[in-house]
Amino acid sequence: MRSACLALALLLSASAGAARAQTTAAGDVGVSASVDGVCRLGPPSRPSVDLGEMAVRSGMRVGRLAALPEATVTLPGSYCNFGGTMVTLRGEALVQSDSSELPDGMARAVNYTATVRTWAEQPPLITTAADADGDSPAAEDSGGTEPAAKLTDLTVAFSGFSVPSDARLVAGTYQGVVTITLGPAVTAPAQGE
Amino acid sequence: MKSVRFGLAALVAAGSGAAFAQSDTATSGPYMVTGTVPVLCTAGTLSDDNGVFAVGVLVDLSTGLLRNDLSAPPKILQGSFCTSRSTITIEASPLVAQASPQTPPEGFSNTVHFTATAEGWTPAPAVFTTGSATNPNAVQTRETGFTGDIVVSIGSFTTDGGASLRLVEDPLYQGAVVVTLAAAD
Repeated sequence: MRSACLALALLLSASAGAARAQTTAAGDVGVSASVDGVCRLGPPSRPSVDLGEMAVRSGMRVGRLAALPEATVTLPGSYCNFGGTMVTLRGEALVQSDSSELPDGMARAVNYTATVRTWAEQPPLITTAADADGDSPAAEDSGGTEPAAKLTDLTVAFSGFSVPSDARLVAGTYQGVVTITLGPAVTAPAQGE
Repeated sequence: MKSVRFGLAALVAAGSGAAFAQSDTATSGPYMVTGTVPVLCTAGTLSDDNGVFAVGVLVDLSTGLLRNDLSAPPKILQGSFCTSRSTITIEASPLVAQASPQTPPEGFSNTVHFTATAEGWTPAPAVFTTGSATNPNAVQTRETGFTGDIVVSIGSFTTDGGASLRLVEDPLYQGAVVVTLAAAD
């Protein structure tokens, strides 16, 4: 064992001697990485918006739309990690899905105004315009462009509820859907352009 | 030179961040927005005065028998509505001499029957005849919600006990008509 260790020590010594014999040299090694653009919408503060009973039960406006307060849903921690983004809001009026013929003087649709706050300076704003029979319930709008990356709690607000011609509402369950999209304000050019 | 090339590569990666983001749009929803409208019915309001069918003098003054030309303007229940399937029911009680309710003398009657009708709500009017053993058309059903006017009228007056009976004198013969709207299951 002793003779083997001696041989190894000599070898290391010879190697170090060779290094000292060269001139000094420096090299730069780049380190690169990328971060993809990401937009995320936080989990909604409630899974749906239930406006409850919408008709007046007594008095002069019995059977017509009650004065409904503003309803909101929060999407906490929504963000985009790059600038040039916008929020798009698509909503459909609340419609009662009965397929029977609509009686004269009555309606089966409740329209509303909706917006999404706290993204760009100009928020998206929609007002649905379904007719009394519930046709053409959808509306869509995009807000302004947010120039920088942003992290915020988005608030979707519903207000200004109305019924075509302020008609009396047919009894039943009314339902609409709302979709919020957060992404780049400019559409990508087609490949090859 | 090598380090410069790396630097360019990093710059391209940063610049393409926006391009990547275009395929990374976040969508939330669709969320349901819901509400309900309960089943409601209201019979509306009467079109005029105090809601009394003023029939006038009931008898032919020369014979003492019931006049055969009695009539009264119809009443209109304005703004009646139900938000769902509904039934309309009409009921009536005959005109009875208020000061002489007891059994009248032979050859006389103190009661006048009539037919009450409610039209405008259902395809077939609701009809009720006082003194009739049955009134199968007194209840009518409408399959959908409705808003409109209900016209209530009375007619077809007859003397209880027969047309040959004369009516006892009384300053007030009084009956009633009741129209009921109700949500139907």
